[in-house]
Amino acid sequence: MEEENNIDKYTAKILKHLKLEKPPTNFTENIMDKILSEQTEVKKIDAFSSKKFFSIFVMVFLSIVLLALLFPAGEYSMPASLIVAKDILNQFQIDFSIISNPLFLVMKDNILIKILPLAIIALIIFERLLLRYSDSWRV
Amino acid sequence: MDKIDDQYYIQKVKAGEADAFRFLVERHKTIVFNIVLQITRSKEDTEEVAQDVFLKAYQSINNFKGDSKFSTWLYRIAYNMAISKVRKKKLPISSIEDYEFADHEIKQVYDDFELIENSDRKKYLKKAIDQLSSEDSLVITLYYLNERSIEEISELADMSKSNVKVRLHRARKKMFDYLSKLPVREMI
Repeated sequence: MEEENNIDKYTAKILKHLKLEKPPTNFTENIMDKILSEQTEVKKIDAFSSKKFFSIFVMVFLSIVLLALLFPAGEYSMPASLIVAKDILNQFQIDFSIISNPLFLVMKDNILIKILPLAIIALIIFERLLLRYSDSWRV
Repeated sequence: MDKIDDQYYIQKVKAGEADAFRFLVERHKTIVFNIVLQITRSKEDTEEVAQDVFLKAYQSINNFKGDSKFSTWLYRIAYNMAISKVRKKKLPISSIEDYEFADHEIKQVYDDFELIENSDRKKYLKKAIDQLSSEDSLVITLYYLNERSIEEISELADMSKSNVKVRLHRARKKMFDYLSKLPVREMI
Protein backbone atom coordinates (compact mmCIF):
# COMPACT_ATOMS: atom_id res chain seq x y z
CA MET A 1 0.00 0.00 0.00
CA GLU A 2 2.86 2.31 0.90
CA GLU A 3 4.53 1.47 -2.40
CA GLU A 4 1.32 2.37 -4.24
CA ASN A 5 1.12 5.74 -2.44
CA ASN A 6 4.76 6.39 -3.22
CA ILE A 7 4.44 5.74 -6.92
CA ASP A 8 1.19 7.72 -7.03
CA LYS A 9 2.83 10.69 -5.29
CA TYR A 10 5.86 10.73 -7.60
CA THR A 11 3.78 10.16 -10.74
CA ALA A 12 1.71 13.21 -9.84
CA LYS A 13 4.88 15.22 -9.26
CA ILE A 14 6.46 14.08 -12.51
CA LEU A 15 3.35 14.65 -14.59
CA LYS A 16 3.14 18.22 -13.35
CA HIS A 17 5.83 18.95 -15.93
CA LEU A 18 3.52 17.91 -18.71
CA LYS A 19 0.86 20.24 -20.08
CA LEU A 20 -2.25 19.26 -21.95
CA GLU A 21 -2.07 19.73 -25.72
CA LYS A 22 -4.03 22.73 -26.92
CA PRO A 23 -6.43 22.34 -29.85
CA PRO A 24 -5.76 24.60 -32.89
CA THR A 25 -6.84 28.22 -32.50
CA ASN A 26 -9.64 27.97 -35.09
CA PHE A 27 -11.02 24.76 -33.55
CA THR A 28 -14.17 26.27 -32.04
CA GLU A 29 -14.87 28.42 -35.09
CA ASN A 30 -14.65 25.43 -37.45
CA ILE A 31 -17.14 23.51 -35.35
CA MET A 32 -19.51 26.43 -35.02
CA ASP A 33 -19.37 27.12 -38.77
CA LYS A 34 -20.45 23.54 -39.45
CA ILE A 35 -23.15 23.61 -36.78
CA LEU A 36 -24.61 26.93 -37.86
CA SER A 37 -24.69 26.03 -41.55
CA GLU A 38 -26.26 22.68 -40.67
CA GLN A 39 -28.82 24.47 -38.51
CA THR A 40 -29.73 26.81 -41.39
CA GLU A 41 -30.35 23.80 -43.64
CA VAL A 42 -32.51 22.11 -41.01
CA LYS A 43 -34.47 25.33 -40.47
CA LYS A 44 -35.08 25.69 -44.21
CA ILE A 45 -36.37 22.12 -44.43
CA ASP A 46 -38.54 22.64 -41.33
CA ALA A 47 -39.84 25.92 -42.67
CA PHE A 48 -40.76 24.61 -46.09
CA SER A 49 -42.53 21.60 -44.64
CA SER A 50 -44.52 23.73 -42.22
CA LYS A 51 -48.33 24.03 -42.48
CA LYS A 52 -47.98 27.81 -42.44
CA PHE A 53 -45.79 27.69 -45.51
CA PHE A 54 -48.75 27.82 -47.92
CA SER A 55 -50.38 30.90 -46.34
CA ILE A 56 -47.06 32.74 -46.17
CA PHE A 57 -46.32 31.79 -49.76
CA VAL A 58 -49.71 33.14 -50.95
CA MET A 59 -49.18 36.36 -49.01
CA VAL A 60 -45.73 36.91 -50.49
CA PHE A 61 -46.96 36.02 -53.98
CA LEU A 62 -49.85 38.50 -53.74
CA SER A 63 -47.40 41.13 -52.49
CA ILE A 64 -45.27 40.58 -55.58
CA VAL A 65 -48.25 40.93 -57.90
CA LEU A 66 -49.53 44.01 -56.11
CA LEU A 67 -46.09 45.62 -56.17
CA ALA A 68 -45.82 44.92 -59.88
CA LEU A 69 -49.27 46.31 -60.62
CA LEU A 70 -48.88 49.37 -58.48
CA PHE A 71 -45.40 50.18 -59.71
CA PRO A 72 -45.79 53.64 -61.31
CA ALA A 73 -45.61 53.56 -65.11
CA GLY A 74 -43.46 56.04 -67.00
CA GLU A 75 -39.99 56.66 -68.26
CA TYR A 76 -37.12 56.05 -65.92
CA SER A 77 -33.59 57.12 -66.64
CA MET A 78 -30.57 55.30 -65.30
CA PRO A 79 -28.91 56.90 -62.28
CA ALA A 80 -25.96 59.11 -63.22
CA SER A 81 -23.57 56.91 -61.25
CA LEU A 82 -24.45 53.90 -63.44
CA ILE A 83 -23.82 55.89 -66.64
CA VAL A 84 -20.37 56.75 -65.33
CA ALA A 85 -19.77 53.07 -64.62
CA LYS A 86 -20.88 52.19 -68.15
CA ASP A 87 -18.39 54.70 -69.60
CA ILE A 88 -15.61 53.21 -67.53
CA LEU A 89 -16.51 49.68 -68.61
CA ASN A 90 -16.64 50.79 -72.24
CA GLN A 91 -12.97 51.71 -71.92
CA PHE A 92 -12.30 47.99 -71.82
CA GLN A 93 -14.11 47.67 -75.18
CA ILE A 94 -16.73 45.34 -73.86
CA ASP A 95 -20.11 45.73 -75.49
CA PHE A 96 -22.62 46.76 -72.88
CA SER A 97 -25.23 47.74 -75.39
CA ILE A 98 -27.87 45.86 -73.45
CA ILE A 99 -27.82 48.57 -70.79
CA SER A 100 -27.75 51.43 -73.27
CA ASN A 101 -31.54 51.52 -73.24
CA PRO A 102 -32.95 52.62 -69.90
CA LEU A 103 -33.92 49.39 -68.18
CA PHE A 104 -37.02 50.78 -66.49
CA LEU A 105 -38.36 51.99 -69.83
CA VAL A 106 -38.43 48.40 -71.05
CA MET A 107 -40.03 47.37 -67.80
CA LYS A 108 -42.94 49.69 -68.41
CA ASP A 109 -44.13 47.65 -71.41
CA ASN A 110 -43.13 44.15 -70.39
CA ILE A 111 -44.98 42.69 -67.43
CA LEU A 112 -42.58 39.74 -67.08
CA ILE A 113 -39.46 41.88 -66.91
CA LYS A 114 -41.35 44.24 -64.63
CA ILE A 115 -42.12 41.47 -62.16
CA LEU A 116 -38.79 39.66 -62.29
CA PRO A 117 -36.56 41.98 -60.18
CA LEU A 118 -39.38 42.48 -57.70
CA ALA A 119 -39.91 38.74 -57.50
CA ILE A 120 -36.22 38.19 -56.76
CA ILE A 121 -36.27 40.81 -54.01
CA ALA A 122 -39.48 39.35 -52.60
CA LEU A 123 -38.07 35.82 -52.63
CA ILE A 124 -34.98 36.96 -50.74
CA ILE A 125 -37.19 38.65 -48.14
CA PHE A 126 -39.38 35.53 -48.09
CA GLU A 127 -36.43 33.24 -47.35
CA ARG A 128 -35.18 35.56 -44.59
CA LEU A 129 -38.68 35.67 -43.07
CA LEU A 130 -38.91 31.90 -43.15
CA LEU A 131 -35.57 31.49 -41.39
CA ARG A 132 -36.38 34.19 -38.86
CA TYR A 133 -39.83 33.02 -37.83
CA SER A 134 -39.88 29.31 -38.56
CA ASP A 135 -38.85 28.52 -34.96
CA SER A 136 -42.14 29.87 -33.65
CA TRP A 137 -44.09 27.56 -35.98
CA ARG A 138 -42.88 24.44 -34.29
CA VAL A 139 -45.73 22.66 -32.58
CA MET B 1 -18.50 34.47 -9.63
CA ASP B 2 -19.15 30.78 -10.31
CA LYS B 3 -18.92 29.52 -13.85
CA ILE B 4 -22.30 29.19 -15.49
CA ASP B 5 -23.35 25.57 -15.37
CA ASP B 6 -23.23 23.48 -18.56
CA GLN B 7 -26.94 22.83 -18.08
CA TYR B 8 -27.71 26.50 -18.77
CA TYR B 9 -26.14 26.31 -22.22
CA ILE B 10 -27.58 22.86 -22.91
CA GLN B 11 -31.09 24.20 -22.35
CA LYS B 12 -30.39 27.08 -24.72
CA VAL B 13 -29.09 24.73 -27.41
CA LYS B 14 -32.12 22.49 -26.94
CA ALA B 15 -34.34 25.56 -27.36
CA GLY B 16 -32.78 26.21 -30.76
CA GLU B 17 -30.00 28.67 -29.86
CA ALA B 18 -27.21 26.87 -31.66
CA ASP B 19 -24.72 29.61 -30.86
CA ALA B 20 -24.87 28.69 -27.16
CA PHE B 21 -23.04 25.49 -28.06
CA ARG B 22 -19.92 27.62 -28.58
CA PHE B 23 -19.53 27.93 -24.77
CA LEU B 24 -19.67 24.17 -24.34
CA VAL B 25 -17.05 23.69 -27.05
CA GLU B 26 -14.77 26.29 -25.47
CA ARG B 27 -15.12 24.73 -22.04
CA HIS B 28 -14.49 21.12 -23.01
CA LYS B 29 -12.36 21.27 -26.15
CA THR B 30 -8.99 20.78 -24.44
CA ILE B 31 -10.00 17.64 -22.61
CA VAL B 32 -11.85 16.18 -25.59
CA PHE B 33 -8.80 16.93 -27.74
CA ASN B 34 -6.48 15.19 -25.29
CA ILE B 35 -8.72 12.15 -24.86
CA VAL B 36 -8.78 11.65 -28.62
CA LEU B 37 -5.06 12.37 -28.93
CA GLN B 38 -4.14 9.75 -26.33
CA ILE B 39 -6.05 7.13 -28.28
CA THR B 40 -5.33 8.02 -31.91
CA ARG B 41 -1.76 9.27 -31.30
CA SER B 42 -2.02 11.41 -34.41
CA LYS B 43 -2.63 15.15 -34.38
CA GLU B 44 -4.28 15.07 -37.81
CA ASP B 45 -6.75 12.38 -36.82
CA THR B 46 -7.30 14.06 -33.47
CA GLU B 47 -8.40 17.32 -35.02
CA GLU B 48 -10.84 15.57 -37.32
CA VAL B 49 -12.24 13.21 -34.67
CA ALA B 50 -12.48 15.91 -31.99
CA GLN B 51 -14.53 18.09 -34.34
CA ASP B 52 -16.79 15.15 -35.15
CA VAL B 53 -17.23 14.53 -31.42
CA PHE B 54 -18.68 18.00 -30.92
CA LEU B 55 -20.85 17.73 -34.03
CA LYS B 56 -22.22 14.41 -32.81
CA ALA B 57 -22.81 15.86 -29.34
CA TYR B 58 -24.69 18.76 -30.88
CA GLN B 59 -26.85 16.47 -33.01
CA SER B 60 -27.66 14.19 -30.08
CA ILE B 61 -28.01 16.83 -27.39
CA ASN B 62 -31.74 16.16 -27.14
CA ASN B 63 -30.88 12.62 -26.03
CA PHE B 64 -28.83 13.98 -23.13
CA LYS B 65 -31.17 13.67 -20.16
CA GLY B 66 -28.78 14.87 -17.50
CA ASP B 67 -28.49 11.52 -15.69
CA SER B 68 -24.70 11.94 -15.71
CA LYS B 69 -22.56 15.03 -15.98
CA PHE B 70 -22.47 16.58 -19.44
CA SER B 71 -18.67 16.31 -19.41
CA THR B 72 -18.83 12.55 -18.78
CA TRP B 73 -21.38 12.10 -21.55
CA LEU B 74 -19.26 14.17 -23.95
CA TYR B 75 -15.97 12.47 -23.03
CA ARG B 76 -17.60 9.11 -23.55
CA ILE B 77 -18.57 10.12 -27.08
CA ALA B 78 -14.97 11.24 -27.58
CA TYR B 79 -13.62 7.96 -26.25
CA ASN B 80 -15.94 5.83 -28.41
CA MET B 81 -15.29 7.81 -31.58
CA ALA B 82 -11.52 7.75 -31.06
CA ILE B 83 -11.58 4.00 -30.46
CA SER B 84 -13.62 3.42 -33.60
CA LYS B 85 -11.20 5.60 -35.60
CA VAL B 86 -8.28 3.53 -34.34
CA ARG B 87 -10.12 0.30 -35.13
CA LYS B 88 -10.81 1.47 -38.68
CA LYS B 89 -7.11 2.10 -39.11
CA LYS B 90 -6.39 -1.24 -37.47
CA LEU B 91 -3.87 0.24 -35.07
CA PRO B 92 -3.16 -1.59 -31.84
CA ILE B 93 -5.28 -0.27 -28.98
CA SER B 94 -3.52 -1.80 -26.08
CA SER B 95 -0.71 -4.10 -25.26
CA ILE B 96 -0.99 -6.68 -22.54
CA GLU B 97 2.65 -6.86 -21.51
CA ASP B 98 3.26 -6.50 -17.82
CA TYR B 99 6.18 -4.89 -16.14
CA GLU B 100 8.24 -5.61 -13.12
CA PHE B 101 9.77 -2.60 -11.47
CA ALA B 102 11.79 -2.35 -8.33
CA ASP B 103 9.88 -0.25 -5.81
CA HIS B 104 12.89 1.16 -4.03
CA GLU B 105 13.96 2.84 -7.27
CA ILE B 106 10.89 5.04 -7.52
CA LYS B 107 12.34 7.91 -5.51
CA GLN B 108 15.68 7.58 -7.22
CA VAL B 109 14.03 7.86 -10.65
CA TYR B 110 12.13 10.92 -9.50
CA ASP B 111 15.24 12.59 -8.07
CA ASP B 112 17.18 11.92 -11.28
CA PHE B 113 14.30 13.15 -13.38
CA GLU B 114 14.16 16.43 -11.46
CA LEU B 115 17.81 17.03 -12.27
CA ILE B 116 17.24 16.97 -16.04
CA GLU B 117 16.83 20.28 -17.85
CA ASN B 118 13.24 21.45 -18.07
CA SER B 119 12.91 21.16 -21.86
CA ASP B 120 14.36 17.64 -21.83
CA ARG B 121 12.06 16.67 -18.99
CA LYS B 122 8.98 17.36 -21.12
CA LYS B 123 10.47 15.53 -24.07
CA TYR B 124 11.22 12.35 -22.08
CA LEU B 125 7.93 12.51 -20.26
CA LYS B 126 6.06 12.68 -23.54
CA LYS B 127 8.03 9.69 -24.79
CA ALA B 128 7.29 7.81 -21.57
CA ILE B 129 3.57 8.38 -22.06
CA ASP B 130 3.68 7.58 -25.76
CA GLN B 131 5.07 4.12 -25.10
CA LEU B 132 2.01 3.25 -23.01
CA SER B 133 -0.99 1.66 -24.67
CA SER B 134 -3.70 4.12 -25.79
CA GLU B 135 -6.03 3.16 -22.97
CA ASP B 136 -3.32 3.28 -20.30
CA SER B 137 -2.10 6.67 -21.44
CA LEU B 138 -5.68 7.93 -21.53
CA VAL B 139 -6.31 6.73 -17.99
CA ILE B 140 -3.12 8.26 -16.63
CA THR B 141 -3.71 11.55 -18.47
CA LEU B 142 -7.29 11.85 -17.31
CA TYR B 143 -6.38 10.97 -13.75
CA TYR B 144 -3.30 13.14 -13.26
CA LEU B 145 -3.60 15.93 -15.83
CA ASN B 146 -7.35 16.39 -15.91
CA GLU B 147 -7.87 15.36 -12.30
CA ARG B 148 -10.82 13.11 -13.13
CA SER B 149 -11.96 10.63 -10.53
CA ILE B 150 -11.66 6.88 -10.99
CA GLU B 151 -15.49 6.70 -11.05
CA GLU B 152 -15.68 9.21 -13.87
CA ILE B 153 -12.95 7.52 -15.90
CA SER B 154 -14.62 4.15 -15.45
CA GLU B 155 -17.92 5.62 -16.67
CA LEU B 156 -16.56 7.37 -19.73
CA ALA B 157 -14.21 4.59 -20.82
CA ASP B 158 -16.74 1.87 -20.01
CA MET B 159 -14.29 0.05 -17.72
CA SER B 160 -14.87 -1.25 -14.25
CA LYS B 161 -13.33 0.77 -11.42
CA SER B 162 -10.95 -2.05 -10.67
CA ASN B 163 -9.90 -2.14 -14.33
CA VAL B 164 -9.15 1.61 -14.17
CA LYS B 165 -7.10 1.07 -10.99
CA VAL B 166 -5.17 -1.78 -12.61
CA ARG B 167 -4.48 0.31 -15.70
CA LEU B 168 -3.35 3.24 -13.55
CA HIS B 169 -1.04 1.03 -11.58
CA ARG B 170 0.38 -0.55 -14.72
CA ALA B 171 0.76 2.80 -16.51
CA ARG B 172 2.66 4.32 -13.57
CA LYS B 173 5.02 1.37 -13.43
CA LYS B 174 5.61 1.41 -17.18
CA MET B 175 6.27 5.12 -17.06
CA PHE B 176 8.78 4.81 -14.21
CA ASP B 177 10.35 1.84 -15.94
CA TYR B 178 10.91 3.90 -19.07
CA LEU B 179 12.26 6.88 -17.13
CA SER B 180 14.56 4.68 -15.09
CA LYS B 181 16.27 3.55 -18.29
CA LEU B 182 17.15 7.04 -19.42
CA PRO B 183 20.87 7.75 -19.25
CA VAL B 184 20.10 10.50 -16.76
CA ARG B 185 23.53 10.74 -15.15
CA GLU B 186 25.19 11.25 -18.52
CA MET B 187 22.78 14.03 -19.39
CA ILE B 188 23.29 16.08 -16.24
